[in-house]
Amino acid sequence: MPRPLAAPYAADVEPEPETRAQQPVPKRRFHWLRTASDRVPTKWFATAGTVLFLAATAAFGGLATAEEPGPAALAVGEEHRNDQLAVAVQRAVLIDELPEAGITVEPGQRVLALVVDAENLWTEPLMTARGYSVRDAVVLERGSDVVEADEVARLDDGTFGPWLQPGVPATLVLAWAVDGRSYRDDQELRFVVRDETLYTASFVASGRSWEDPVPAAYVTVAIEDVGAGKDPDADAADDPPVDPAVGQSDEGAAG
Amino acid sequence: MTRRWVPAVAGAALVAAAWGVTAVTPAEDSAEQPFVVAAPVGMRAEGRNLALTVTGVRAADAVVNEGWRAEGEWVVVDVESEATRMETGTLLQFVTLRLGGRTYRASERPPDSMFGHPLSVGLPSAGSVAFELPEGALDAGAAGVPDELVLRFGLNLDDRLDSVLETRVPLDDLEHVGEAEIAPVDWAGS
Amino acid sequence: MSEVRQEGSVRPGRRRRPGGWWRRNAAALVALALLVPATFGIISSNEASTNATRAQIVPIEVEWGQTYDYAGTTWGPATVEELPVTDEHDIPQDARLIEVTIPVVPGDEEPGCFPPTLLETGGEQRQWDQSGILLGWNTTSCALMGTEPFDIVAPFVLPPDAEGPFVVDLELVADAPAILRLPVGD
Repeated sequence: MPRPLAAPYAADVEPEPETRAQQPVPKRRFHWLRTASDRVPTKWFATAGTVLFLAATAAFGGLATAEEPGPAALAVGEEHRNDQLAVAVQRAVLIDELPEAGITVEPGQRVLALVVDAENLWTEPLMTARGYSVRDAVVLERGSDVVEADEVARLDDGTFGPWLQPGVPATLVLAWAVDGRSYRDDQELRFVVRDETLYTASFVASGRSWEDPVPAAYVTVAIEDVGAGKDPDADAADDPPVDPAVGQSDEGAAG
Repeated sequence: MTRRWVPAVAGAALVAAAWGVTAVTPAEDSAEQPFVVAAPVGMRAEGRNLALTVTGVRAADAVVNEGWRAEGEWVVVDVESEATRMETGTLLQFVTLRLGGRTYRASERPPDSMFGHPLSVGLPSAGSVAFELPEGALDAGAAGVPDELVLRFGLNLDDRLDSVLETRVPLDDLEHVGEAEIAPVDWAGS
Repeated sequence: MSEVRQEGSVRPGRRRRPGGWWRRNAAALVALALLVPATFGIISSNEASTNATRAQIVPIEVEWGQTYDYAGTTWGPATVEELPVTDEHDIPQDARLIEVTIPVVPGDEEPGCFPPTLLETGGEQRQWDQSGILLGWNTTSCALMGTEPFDIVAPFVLPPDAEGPFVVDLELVADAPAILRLPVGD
């Protein structure tokens, strides 16, 4: 009686070695590999892998902290382009006041004015209100922080917070109200030029907007102190630009 | 055996159908597109609380307005416009020009233009709006430049689900002048 | 199924406490009994107050020649005067220039209101804002007038096709804002 019970079990197991023996033909091609690997101790694989990893790491500079590709340095007047804007920082001026750019100063404050050439490279008009386009793109570095311009105006006709039409270049004055004692003539200032990403709002919001500014380059500019900045011809001018002293590309009157 | 191709064909047909559905699905924002009213040059068009007639369109190398002057590639559009229902908050604030895949906004630079001007009910104002375009934007035959300007007028900065009046101006019909005046705003007919 | 029955049978103690589930969840049940009606109550009262506010937005129609007391102030009656249009006014020569006067007698508190607007009662029911700025006139409004009686004087420039009778809407600033609709005739 035990025999018939054991028989199915035996029948299931026993043929296996046979089948294995019957099918060595397709495996013969890699037989040498199998034989070789059988002879190499398993530990060697781990060692070989580790050596390969270390070699690759060493080839890319080892485990030392890799230097991050920092923002590129731009020369004064050099253009930085991204999908949204082309900007070129031209000139930094320190002036007592600059109402033509729409900026008001408290006692003890002066105006830091930055002349920037800007062109909208997008397909829709860009505004220059706080947090938009040029104001986000060119910011003043102050310590470890950056500061957005307080006001923006066109240099030619003094339009406040002008819109940038697609493909139409404009020269703008970015103005910061600053502590009059913190800045002086010939001081080198760093401005950070930032890139933004175009987002298409969905769900609860709508429209497209440029967000998340990321530093892309920096420009170091020496300040020109033009003092009161009053040009003798300014009062006579019929439709004065933002300020003759700021607009001049040659040296302004020393304060 | 003969049925083996059935799932393959059915699968391919479903993929094609899915592609078709994707292709014909309207864009997400199409449900809130503005209602466009045609406003041919010289014809009065009416939208929500806005009536407007484009009385002239011309291109200029320089524009003047109340002592202000600017050079460049400009398009000056003369309009007559009034509100039809109410005056509170009724400003001609949405004025755009579309050309070659780009959208321009009427320039805020001229001191006295119809752009952003308040509109009176029943008493039309006349004036101009001006657009500043890149150099060469109007050159006929330039690559990628379509043959017409598309002007749009509305009361709301946000044109979604509002009516906008649309004027199409073929580039060939555009008169080119050296210097154009952006007419200061006045009552129509005076 | 069989497991459930077994469980019940191995713990017969549960069965001897009828209402045990109710007792264990008593706190939650009491909270539920209070919060469900409270939710409906709060939603309903919010809706009711919104509705009440909206009711004030429907203008209060004041009878011709009558005054109306609201928020401690007496308003009206409104009178209208047609002014000749001359060259010195920067308005179209075929326009109509009218001036609406609304006497205001404040109570103990300084009244508040927005500039009045003029409406056609017939036709397209068009609405005009006061044209003080357009005409370069100084107009009087409710702002900072104190508690002495004063007149609100508002000029309106109307197109020749404007059709009377007209009414003036005066939006009052008060704890419960309201709009007074005062008839001014043709």
